[in-house]
Amino acid sequence: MKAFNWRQLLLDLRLFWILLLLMALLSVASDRFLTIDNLTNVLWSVCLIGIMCTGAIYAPITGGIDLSVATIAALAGIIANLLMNVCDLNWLLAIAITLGIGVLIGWVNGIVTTKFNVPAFIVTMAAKTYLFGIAMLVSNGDQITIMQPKAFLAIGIDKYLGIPIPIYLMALLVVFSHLLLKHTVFGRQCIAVGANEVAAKLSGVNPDRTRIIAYIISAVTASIAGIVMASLTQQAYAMNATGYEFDVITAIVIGGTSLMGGNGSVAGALIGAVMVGFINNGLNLLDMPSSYHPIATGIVILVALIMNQGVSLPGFIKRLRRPDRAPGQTASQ
Amino acid sequence: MSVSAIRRLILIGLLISIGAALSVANPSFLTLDNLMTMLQEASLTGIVAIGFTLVLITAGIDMSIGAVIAITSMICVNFISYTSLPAYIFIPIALAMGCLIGWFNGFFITYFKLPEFIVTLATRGILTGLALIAAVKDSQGFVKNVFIQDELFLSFGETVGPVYIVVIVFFVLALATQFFIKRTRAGSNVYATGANPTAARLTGIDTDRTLIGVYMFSGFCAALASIFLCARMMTAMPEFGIGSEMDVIASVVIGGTPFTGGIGDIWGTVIGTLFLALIKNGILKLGLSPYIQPIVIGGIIVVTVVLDVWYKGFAEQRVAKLARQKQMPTREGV
Repeated sequence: MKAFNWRQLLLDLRLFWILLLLMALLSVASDRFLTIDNLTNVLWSVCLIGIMCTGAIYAPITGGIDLSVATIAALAGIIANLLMNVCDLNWLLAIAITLGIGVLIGWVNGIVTTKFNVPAFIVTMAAKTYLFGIAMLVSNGDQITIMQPKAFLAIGIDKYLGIPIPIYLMALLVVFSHLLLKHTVFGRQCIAVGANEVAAKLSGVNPDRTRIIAYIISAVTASIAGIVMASLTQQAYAMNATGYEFDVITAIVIGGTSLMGGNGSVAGALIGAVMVGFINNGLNLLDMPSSYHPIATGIVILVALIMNQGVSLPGFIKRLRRPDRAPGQTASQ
Repeated sequence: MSVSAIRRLILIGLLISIGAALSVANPSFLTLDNLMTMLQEASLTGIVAIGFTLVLITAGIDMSIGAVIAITSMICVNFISYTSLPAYIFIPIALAMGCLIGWFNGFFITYFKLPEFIVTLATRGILTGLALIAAVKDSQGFVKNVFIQDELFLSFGETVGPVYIVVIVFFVLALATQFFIKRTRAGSNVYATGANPTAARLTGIDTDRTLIGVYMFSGFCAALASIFLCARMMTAMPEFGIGSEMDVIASVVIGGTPFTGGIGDIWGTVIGTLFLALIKNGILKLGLSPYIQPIVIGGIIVVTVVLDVWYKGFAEQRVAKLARQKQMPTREGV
């Protein structure tokens, strides 16, 4: 039997310690931080990013990336509203069709990425651009307020046992996504394709199919986030989720998922989402202008990525003195 | 004829036929004024696209170009409103800033072996924020609109005869870059790095230095475009250039530079830039909804790439068939 390793446990939970440290720093810096109101606020924003993360993580695991999630979310809200309030469809049917459109978008992303050998970020950036155009065209560039139907709006507003429904939804998706990644054949195939496509192909995995499904999952969770967002804010607007894709990537990267593919952790991404929520909230509480948000996100992405590469600060300084041994050189050559 | 030459002929044919169709549909299209304005727009995108082509040839990507445009314009505006330095001092500083950002990108990509797009996306975020912070504000803290009055600076937006200066600069830069990548050793290093980095390294090419140089050139081109943009608009805003990456990517992709690296040249990019500018102008002249523009740009990228892959597969099959036919007699002879 393996002896219980305290050091390993501390290392495994390092993200959690950093999160606690961040909370402690913020509560010292601002006395408004540790209030129920503020924490609920953070939870709202974390919820949307968290729901997107549960699916968007599959693209990096298979070695790609999905930059179109935010626009898919905005488009989903607009389409759901269009179906419910202009076409007078039942709200459940409208949600089903919206998710179906999400599947279609993810399928197109996946097909173009795999069958035509285009880098995933180009395909999804292009998708982001044309989906934004479609969203603007469909909504006529308006900020639509959603007043009807009550059952749809209940998704975002209602509470069960004192906890808002989106939180349950996020928890459910996180558990589902974790099980899918770690305990099913498909999850293993995703990791195999991301780690070594040739080896995966030789052992009988279809890399193209795996990747296409990964993009479909990503687009569907983005649509779910879009529906939750629409019912939460009671409005549908093409620019609703602008910039969320960077928060999603930041959360995923903080969670220890390498963007080269081959590993990933849904729980880590969730902690990453909470951290992104705290960082954004902290900047707000410290009265920083909104222009500091992209700066903070950019720096956090870079630092987290470098740390994922296995570079620590003392090691970095040592290597700067001896530049002949850059990190990762043995791995890539 | 080679595959890329046929591709280029088809593009030029399309360019002319779309232009002809537009001039029939709207008489105001075929006026000197409109054509020159269109050429000016194309040149602004094109200058950035030239640097971007080199990055794409090394199989990399630079998403920070839009933000470089924003930060460069903010640097110029700060110099104009807080100092009385002449333009010939602060314009080189602004261009050097573009190079510095490119060096930063290249350093992170080569030293830490990080994916190019995520590094440049992160710098894009950082620079977007910095541009907003660096913007000249009035006493209430709102971004102030600074009108550029510097003679030399504004002269960049002027015309020589009917042709804007930026168009001339664009074509000169294209010529110089084409010469550089095709006729110099450093240029062929760029191709080698993109085609097979490991082989290039083993041949003795300093791939890290080549990559850093390419990203610095991309930053420089974006900064140069920014100065012409400011001179044309006679002002600068922190939103300048944000989101223009897609236009640049679309131009380069139409021009026939693939994402796989090792292939591509500047003439293709020049044609691609003109093509995109024509389509954007056409959407405007036909009175279509402006929301169609992002759909068209995103769609063009996807469709061009898909067509390219199909065509490449078709051409390869044909070559293989020809090769088999040519081999037949020798086989019988043996």
